[in-house]
Amino acid sequence: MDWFEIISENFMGAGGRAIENLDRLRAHYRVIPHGVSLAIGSVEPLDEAYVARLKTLLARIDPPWFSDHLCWARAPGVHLHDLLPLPYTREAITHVVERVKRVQGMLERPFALENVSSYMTFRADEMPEWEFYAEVAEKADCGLLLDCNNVYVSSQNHGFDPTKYIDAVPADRVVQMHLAGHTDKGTYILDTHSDFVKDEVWALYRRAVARTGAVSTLVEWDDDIPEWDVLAEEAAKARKARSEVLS
Amino acid sequence: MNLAAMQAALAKMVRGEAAPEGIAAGNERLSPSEQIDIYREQFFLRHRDALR
Repeated sequence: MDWFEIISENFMGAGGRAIENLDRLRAHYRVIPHGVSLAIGSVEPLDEAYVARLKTLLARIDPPWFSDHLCWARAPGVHLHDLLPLPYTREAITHVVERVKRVQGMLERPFALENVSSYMTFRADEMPEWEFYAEVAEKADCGLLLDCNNVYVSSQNHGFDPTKYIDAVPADRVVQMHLAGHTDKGTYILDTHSDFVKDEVWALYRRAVARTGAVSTLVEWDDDIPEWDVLAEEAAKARKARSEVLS
Repeated sequence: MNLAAMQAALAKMVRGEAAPEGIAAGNERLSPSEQIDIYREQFFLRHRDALR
């Protein structure tokens, strides 16, 4: 394995077994922190205590970048602990861009935003998701973590052409990609991270790599986790696909 | 409806404190309320899993 990604929030404590394991991992591999609770799109004020804990974690790991999702999760008096979609509006772009700039300034590290799987669209939407994603990245001057499975899941749930999305992403801003499996629930597809990467997602990945070149790729498999050999084989498949596209 | 109002309303809908109306667009396969129900179910399942 070339490197590992950790869920940032699982390693924000001051010590204990999690930190011990992290330090052991870091002794042998590069580790990239990936958050799920920054809530960059929430209109609630930034959780500065959370950002301070993240800063401590980043100082411990010294990663080339850190990432979180282009979503919201906090509302007045509640943290919903979900990756809730934003309406694709000018107002939301202005809001997120300001927050991303602020977070990058506070944490003094390159930040990458991941596109989420979504299960609803808003009446208020003013543009397709890929235009929203690209404009946020350009205006905030941040990196992108392109999740090819999320593109596919959302495309099936909302009826758009996923290749259009892949082709519209600012390729020079993509610092990392995600691959994962999903589950067909009949009337929609759920991003479950519980299975092999599907052929349609591999095809999107190949298309994306042809545009971005060799960027770090992670296979997410965090539910119904198989034996290590199975996981390693899926990661090797990603490495092989990337090499084939770029050869 | 501005961003703050949308988030406040959706937060209530996800928690089952408001009817899932007026925000989601829906599509041919899922009505607006069915789209929000997906998030409402996930919200419940995460709480159930946390209590296990």
